[in-house]
Amino acid sequence: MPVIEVSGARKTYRRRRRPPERALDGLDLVVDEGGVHGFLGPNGSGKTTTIRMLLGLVSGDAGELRLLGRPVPDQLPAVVGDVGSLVETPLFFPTFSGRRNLELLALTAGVAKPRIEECLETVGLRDRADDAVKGYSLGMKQRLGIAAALLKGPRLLILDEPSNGLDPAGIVEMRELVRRLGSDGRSTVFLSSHLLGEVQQVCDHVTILARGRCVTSGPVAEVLAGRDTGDVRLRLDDPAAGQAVLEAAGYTVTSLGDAWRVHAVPDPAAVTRLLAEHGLYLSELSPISADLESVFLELTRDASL
Amino acid sequence: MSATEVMTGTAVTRRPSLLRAEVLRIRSRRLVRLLLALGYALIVVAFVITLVNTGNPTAAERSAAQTQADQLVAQCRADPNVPADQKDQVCQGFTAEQFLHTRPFDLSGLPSGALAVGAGFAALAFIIGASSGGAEWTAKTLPALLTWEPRRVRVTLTKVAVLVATVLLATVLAELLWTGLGSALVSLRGSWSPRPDRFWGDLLDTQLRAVLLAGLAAAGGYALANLIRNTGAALGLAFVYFAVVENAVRVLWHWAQQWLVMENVTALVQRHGVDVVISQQLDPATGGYTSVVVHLTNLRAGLTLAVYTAVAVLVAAVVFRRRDLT
Repeated sequence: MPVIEVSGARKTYRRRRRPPERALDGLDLVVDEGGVHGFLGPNGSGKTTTIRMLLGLVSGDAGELRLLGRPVPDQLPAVVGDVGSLVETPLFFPTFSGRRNLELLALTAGVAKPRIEECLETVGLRDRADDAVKGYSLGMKQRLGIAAALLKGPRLLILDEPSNGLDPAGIVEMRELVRRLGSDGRSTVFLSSHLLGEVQQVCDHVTILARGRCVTSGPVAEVLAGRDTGDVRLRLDDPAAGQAVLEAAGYTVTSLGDAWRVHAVPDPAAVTRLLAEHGLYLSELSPISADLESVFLELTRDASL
Repeated sequence: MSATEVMTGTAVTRRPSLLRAEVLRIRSRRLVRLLLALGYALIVVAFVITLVNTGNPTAAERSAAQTQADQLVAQCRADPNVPADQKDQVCQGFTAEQFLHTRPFDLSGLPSGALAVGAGFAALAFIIGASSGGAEWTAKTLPALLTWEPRRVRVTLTKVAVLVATVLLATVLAELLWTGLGSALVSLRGSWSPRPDRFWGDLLDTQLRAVLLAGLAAAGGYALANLIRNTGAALGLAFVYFAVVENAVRVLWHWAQQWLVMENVTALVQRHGVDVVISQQLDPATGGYTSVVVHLTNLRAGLTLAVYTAVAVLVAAVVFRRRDLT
């Protein structure tokens, strides 16, 4: 069952003394239950607006949205207890302690007090939980936001740029946490990020967004495979001779510094055979896989044209 | 503990209560505690100042004061510059109390003090209400709360209810404090006799009206700050309204005075309400002007203010419901 369904979502922000800003332009999105689903897009592509619409913080101009099978915002109160969220930088009462901020939220949803301690422990904030939030670093506030998102024990966890403000060790911990949450078989993590490496490392599925529209969606491996160029990287003792042989056979070859890139090779074995026939032997031949960065840049560039 | 255990545990084990969360929030706010402590401290300070500046005059002091007053009344009556038809009115202004060096605390000071306490706490209530509404916009904590309780009208009404209940309780305590200290002043520095009929009943009525005013002020302050989304701006707007707009209405549109907030506040707290002159008409028979007066009773003023507050809260709730939180 899909945990998130968005169909034809449109949203234009109308602000005084500024031109209207179209944030979503007919977005379609389906997130199936389980695993970690990446939501990738450049700044201003509509990621946060989509999340805000799903959580009822922003009203859409058109389209249908469903969370855990229920239409939102109409039936949001029925499912909000199963949805944990962290939307951009979490904001708490600055003069209250971290623990008091969580207590306020826990009371609202009927979450038991021990759960607060568990979540503080999980994000590594227990020792500073009684300090006022105004003394927290951005990373600590982010951890507190993640603790708040975990409080309800949600079936669906929506995280919007959770790595913001975290130090490198915190980023690694956060990614590990997201991976664990996504693999527990009970919950689904919807991870919005503009960090390509983060999505590639953590997510099973990905949706790429550009200018308020979905440009591709599916399992990360399939998205990458669909964009595979067939290029190979090769290294040999006499590179100049190798380049001449390959170019004579119709291949396009470019230098990679200490190696060569042969473009659009349908059958790598043919390259091996060709070079061997000329007495040239390879020390390396490896396919160059498309990475999410190149796919992302290609798709979002196309969308912006 | 692993994250998986955290996620799969039974998180929701007790009844969700936005109301309890709001009570905890308002109890935890330092500004609320500070302002209320300031209010109670001012009552105690007023008690101490009054205690120091009043006393029980001796019989001899009273007699001497009465003699001085009688002499002045006699001089006044004999004064040829005072018109004969105005002597009663002018000369009765001299009383023995004016010549006492040690003045007692008058029993009428008890209801007057209750009125002042009510007015002061109404002002504090407005500030507390405005800061409660404005602080959440300034700290931008509302989106986080709405991801837990998305019913915005319910959120607004709960916040207003908790705020009003807190202010009502605080004002009742303030009135009780004043009643205790004021009674001590009467016992130590004044006299319980002669005590007017229904003294305690009238005092209680005054205090209840003052408590009601504080509750309305808190709700109004919250609604205004929620609309403007800033505490300082809400307080500034309120100041401009009372200092400029209401005065302009008094000067330009006499008929509208009966609907002004300040006139209705005064009418609510004053024991018998107030008379408001809404126009003056030329009397052809006498050639003079006759004032057209509207009497604002306690009930009418209370209902008027309640309607204003309800409309403000409703508008704030509806605007909040439609607003995009970005």
